[in-house]
Amino acid sequence: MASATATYGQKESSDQNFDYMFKILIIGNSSVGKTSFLFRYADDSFTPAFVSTVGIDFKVKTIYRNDKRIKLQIWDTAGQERYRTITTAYYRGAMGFILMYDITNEDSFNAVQDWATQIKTYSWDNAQVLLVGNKCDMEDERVVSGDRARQLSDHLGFEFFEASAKDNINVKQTFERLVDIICEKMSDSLDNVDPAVTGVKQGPQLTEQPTAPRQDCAC
Amino acid sequence: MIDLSFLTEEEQETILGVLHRDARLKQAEETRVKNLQLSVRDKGLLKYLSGEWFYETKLLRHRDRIHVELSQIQPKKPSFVASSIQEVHIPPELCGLIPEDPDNRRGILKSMSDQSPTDSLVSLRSAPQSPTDQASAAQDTTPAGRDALGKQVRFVPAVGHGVPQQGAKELGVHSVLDVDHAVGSPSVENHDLSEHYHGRLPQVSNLLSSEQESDLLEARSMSKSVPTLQLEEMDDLFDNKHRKRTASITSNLSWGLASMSSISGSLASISRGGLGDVDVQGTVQFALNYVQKMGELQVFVVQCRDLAVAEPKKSRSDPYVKCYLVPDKTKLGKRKTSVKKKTLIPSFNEILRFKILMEVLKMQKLNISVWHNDTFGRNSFLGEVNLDLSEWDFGDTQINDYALTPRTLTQLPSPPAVSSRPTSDQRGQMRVSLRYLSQPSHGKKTSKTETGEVQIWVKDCKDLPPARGVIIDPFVKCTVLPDISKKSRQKTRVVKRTANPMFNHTMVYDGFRPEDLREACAEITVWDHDRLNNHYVGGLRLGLGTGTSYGAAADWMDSTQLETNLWEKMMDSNGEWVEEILPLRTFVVAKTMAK
Repeated sequence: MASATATYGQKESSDQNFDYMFKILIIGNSSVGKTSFLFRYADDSFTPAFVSTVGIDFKVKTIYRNDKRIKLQIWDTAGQERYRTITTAYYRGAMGFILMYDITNEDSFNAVQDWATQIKTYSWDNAQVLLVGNKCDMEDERVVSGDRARQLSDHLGFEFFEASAKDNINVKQTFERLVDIICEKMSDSLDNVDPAVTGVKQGPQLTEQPTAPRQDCAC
Repeated sequence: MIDLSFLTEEEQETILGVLHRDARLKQAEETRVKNLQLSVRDKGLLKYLSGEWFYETKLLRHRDRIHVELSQIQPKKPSFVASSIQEVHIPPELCGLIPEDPDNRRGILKSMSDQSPTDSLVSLRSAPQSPTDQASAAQDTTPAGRDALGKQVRFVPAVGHGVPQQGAKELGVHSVLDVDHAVGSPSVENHDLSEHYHGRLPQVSNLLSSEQESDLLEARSMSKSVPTLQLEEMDDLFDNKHRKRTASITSNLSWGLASMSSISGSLASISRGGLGDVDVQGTVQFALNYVQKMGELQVFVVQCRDLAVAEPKKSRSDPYVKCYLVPDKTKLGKRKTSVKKKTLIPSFNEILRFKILMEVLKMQKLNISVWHNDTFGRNSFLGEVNLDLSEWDFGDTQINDYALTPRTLTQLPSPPAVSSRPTSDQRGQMRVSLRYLSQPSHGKKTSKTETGEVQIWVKDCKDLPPARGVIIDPFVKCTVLPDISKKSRQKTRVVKRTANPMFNHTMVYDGFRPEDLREACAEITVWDHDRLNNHYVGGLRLGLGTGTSYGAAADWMDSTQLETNLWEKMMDSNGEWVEEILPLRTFVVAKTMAK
């Protein structure tokens, strides 16, 4: 699954060479690594320095998936409470969410339920959400086990990944899985339309993940 | 509108930068979708390519949720009695929100609520745009049978979160449009118009109408995406911030109230000076012409004279003229001239056009304002002129000078007197049946806990007025006040393209003790369905019209004599249906969370 290069600035709006545009929102407590996760995905870059996101930001990336060019507008939100009024305003237009916590931070995991409620409140009822436990490279400091997270994600009805923006683990897979889920939703949305239209193949392939995520974290 | 006023300058700059980028992206996306609409025939395919599917799915999801919520409500039966009046929180200011213009409402809300984050959070919440469940509406031919009703809502007057949540739905609507209007509408044929403008109708190309059409498309689709701010809205944010500092009232507030006044009619304007940063001075010269043949109001903006200096340091202004029809202060009703650089005596010679039926136009006010366009987006208000078009002589197409005035602030309407005005000729009428059924007695029946349900059978409407010149897509909403919660809100289905819709929809509210009937008021409103923004057509308030509810003053307890009569008849009817055809009237909807 080749990804086209990301475009920025003026270019991010001028690129019209795509079939669909999806809007994705990344949410979660402050400092769990939302921005790093996005930078890893969009720029393939990582910096350990922590800079708190001011309110909101986004990046654009066009990918090729299911024979379609899909332009992603990925919104990065501030985890801090004081920006909440701004960030929640963006929930409504999001087709999918990445709800992130930090496996080394208990609080961030405990807040997952609250974030899920936020999604329910401000988004549509059946928003597509992936739960992501970031920083799985820091196994030594892990406080949230994969099992606990999996249990919670089952309970919430979200798919679950552990990932590391730093070591580039499961980052691309997360986004691609979310894109696939949105594509599935899209093809579900109109039954009477030729499935070829959506680029999502009907049948068993639909649920197959072309690039299967690593089961949990390799580390 | 997103409230950025609590942020530092630096933070605001950062966020505005992001919003600018988003606006650009959105603009590109709108263009793409517009092109798709022209090039892609297959409707299904188009839905995918344009992202329309997402919004449709959203609607469906929401519909499902309504059913769930309702079925969950059913078994609990909290007592209406239990809720005390203190919990009913409807500040009079909030009662008066015109649902037609989210900007206005946000403005009002923001200022009224002292801009606490909580409030703006609530107001930013996207309002559910669920279509009513058509299935149940269709079954409602046997309205008495509860099984056929499909919907039942408990009457719960306690509303802790009294702030409407209609808010943000269309934050994104205007952004790019305005840019277009500001720079993209130079009128080729305008130059010599001043000569023959008041002689004959200028021959106009179709350019504009198609532009408007595309605006519509844009507006429609823009509305669906995540919120965007545009330059001007950002200005408002800055304005707000600035004004808050000087303990004044936001510009939005004055707007909101202005539009309210035009709906409720008889309100005096109070001039307020010194609201803006710039002392208002000078004149604007324009002419109005209504072109019957095209169904179009043309505002020929000629020039301004002696404008205030917006940037004292550089001693310059970059003026442009903006024009709204109020209360239709949606972006569809907004036009701008181009910006003239470095001049206090700009010549525009541009025609701003509004496609609108004369009958509708006569219910509007025209607001023409002059602004300084700042490259950094912080536009300054340079003055305005308001014209009440109901009094305007459209035979007069003279070019005239009008003195610019500071922003005007209008007062909130006082509750209309009982039996104010049966303006059935304008608003149309509704046939509605009511009955109050005491609950079938259960074993432990005591008179204290005895409650019943109010059934409101909305049958049909007649002669609903067109909106903006087109026949509307009406539907009916009902809330039983003082409960303004979402649960109290019920809707009929939307009937497409008719002035005489048949609804036959029954709404049931239970948990009423007989004495509650004296304190409650069923607010039934007719709306023109619009994905972008539903428009208020008119309504009824069925209650005793006492002006109070549970001992507290209630603006919405203002039923007319006819309305009161029907409610009284219901109270006396022992469970029999009582029916009446009532004229719809305009009032300030008590609660605009509904959409």
